Amino acid sequence: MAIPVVELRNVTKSFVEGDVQALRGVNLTIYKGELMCIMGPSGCGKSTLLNLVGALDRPTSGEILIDGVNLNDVENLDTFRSRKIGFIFQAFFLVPTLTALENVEIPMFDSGFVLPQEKTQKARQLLKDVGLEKKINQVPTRLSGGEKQRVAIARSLANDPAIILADEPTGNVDSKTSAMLIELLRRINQEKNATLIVVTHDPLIAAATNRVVQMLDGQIVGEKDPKSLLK
Amino acid sequence: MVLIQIVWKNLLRRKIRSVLTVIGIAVGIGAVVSLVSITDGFVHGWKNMIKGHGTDLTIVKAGTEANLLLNILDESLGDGLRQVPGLEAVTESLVDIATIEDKPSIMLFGYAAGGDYMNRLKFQTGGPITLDDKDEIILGSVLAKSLKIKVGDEIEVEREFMTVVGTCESSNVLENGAGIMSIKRLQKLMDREGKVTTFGIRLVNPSQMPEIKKEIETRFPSISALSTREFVDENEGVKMAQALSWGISLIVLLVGAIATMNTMFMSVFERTREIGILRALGWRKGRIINMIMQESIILSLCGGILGIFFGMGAVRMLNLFRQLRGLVQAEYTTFLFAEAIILALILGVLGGMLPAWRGSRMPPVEALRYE
Ligand SMILES: Nc1ncnc2c1ncn2[C@@H]1O[C@H](COP(=O)(O)OP(=O)(O)O)[C@@H](O)[C@H]1O
Ligand SMILES: [Mg+2]
Repeated sequence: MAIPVVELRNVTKSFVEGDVQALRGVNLTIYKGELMCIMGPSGCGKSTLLNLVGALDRPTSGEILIDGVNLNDVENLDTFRSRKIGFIFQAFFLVPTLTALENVEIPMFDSGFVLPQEKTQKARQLLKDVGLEKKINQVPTRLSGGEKQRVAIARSLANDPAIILADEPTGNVDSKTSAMLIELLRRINQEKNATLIVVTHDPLIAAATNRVVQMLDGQIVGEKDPKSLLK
Repeated sequence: MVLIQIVWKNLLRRKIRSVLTVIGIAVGIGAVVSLVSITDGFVHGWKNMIKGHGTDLTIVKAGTEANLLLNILDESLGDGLRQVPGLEAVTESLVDIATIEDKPSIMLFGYAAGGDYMNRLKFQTGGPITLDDKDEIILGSVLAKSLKIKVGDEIEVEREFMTVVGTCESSNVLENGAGIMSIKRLQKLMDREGKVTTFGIRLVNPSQMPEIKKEIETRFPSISALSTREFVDENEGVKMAQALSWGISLIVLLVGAIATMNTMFMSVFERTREIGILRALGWRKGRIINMIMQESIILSLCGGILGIFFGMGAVRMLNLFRQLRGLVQAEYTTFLFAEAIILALILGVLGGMLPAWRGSRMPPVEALRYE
């Protein structure tokens, strides 16, 4: 019954600079509506994997299919990315000169024609959904870490992406905020039926997901039952 | 939100740097504006002076059209010219450079006493010279003011004494800074008896100008009959001033483009991360280029507009100097303003191109890597 949205077939990625093989033959299928998590030690290739799935970069070899589309056949990854993928980063990466509202509008610039007032409307709604309706006109420096990440989450939803990628989204916030953020991500996963892939070190975060994939040295070494992580 | 709002916020991020860049461009554009407006004003004033004299065609020696002072014609040529049909008046004038009081190189114009040119002068005080042999001189308004001389005073011109009989205000800065004498007296003063610089010709019917010009030039192969436009535009000094304006414009373009490029490169480099994020969030390369180009062009256009004011201010400042008052006569044409804005625009495009291209090429993964 499950429909695959992300398929990696024997994906490798080498960096000439530093002579690193960051991914060594990754095979992975992720299904529609999954809330899954990738764990592994620092430097094992989690971010590299996420960047490839997010069409930010191309693999050295192998195939990546997103929603049935082989990325090797996609000429313009920018447009593809803005329509299909939402990103959440550890360091938030909000544009410092823009307000929360304007930051959420950013992904809507090149995703197809949207009227400026429609962009604003949508962004306002998204910020309301993450509970920030009172902060829409604040610039990032006036927001707490948790609020910044909520803006970033709203931003990742701007184009109703099929897939949301979060690279250590709770890495820069305290544990209480972290719990609130994962709750928010869970809700989004359920309400919007978006597929969520979260990279994390935090067992508490991982335990809140439905599937945990373990990585080591550029390879997938197994899966764990999320509930087992709590012990 | 639209792109221009982001562009604007980016420029305001480093206010001092943006303002300094704008001022830098404005100084350059201002130099061009003041230079060109003064040249234009001079050319315009000169043409007006000739028009004011009622002259349709100016006769000069063939081959020396470009330099008024090299022009030497025989007075007797006037009699020949008067035989040509269709001419209402033929008026000779002599131009020379002399020392007046302690001022060297003052221009002296010699017009026929009681003649047309003499009588058409706009007198502030006194009146025209009516007799050929009197030791009389009329001073242009600026010269009179700087010599602190009034009608009735005596002044020394080339070691001879002349009585000032009038001061006049001309549309032309040359006349304003010059002395005017009867042509006969000037010829004697300068040892140039029987010589004139140009003949001014008024036609009975100005629409016959092309035919009469041809007729004159066939009858007298050694001379050229020039329309006012030809006469002024061919002038060496005018051409030089125009070449200088072009030269300065080019330098301004180059320096301005480099200054803009410097600012934009700095701005792009310090935003490496941010541009990478925009790219990761789906912005196409073209939009990044667009954003950076708009920033660059807004800077340069602001510089252009401010530069126009700088240029006009500079001309005003020049006029504050007593020695220059009345000599600097700027003419501001729509064309000049358009030129300044286009210059600024080109400069902004040139300055923004490389930084924009560079910014668009930043791979998003690289930008996002460093934490
Ligand atoms: N752009 C790059 N150029 C060179 N080496 C890189 C690049 N990105 C990642 N690497 C290297 O690839 C390996 C995997 O990195 P990364 O995917 O960031 O690990 P993780 O996110 O699991 O900590 C590391 O050794 C890292 O230094
Ligand atoms: Mg990482």
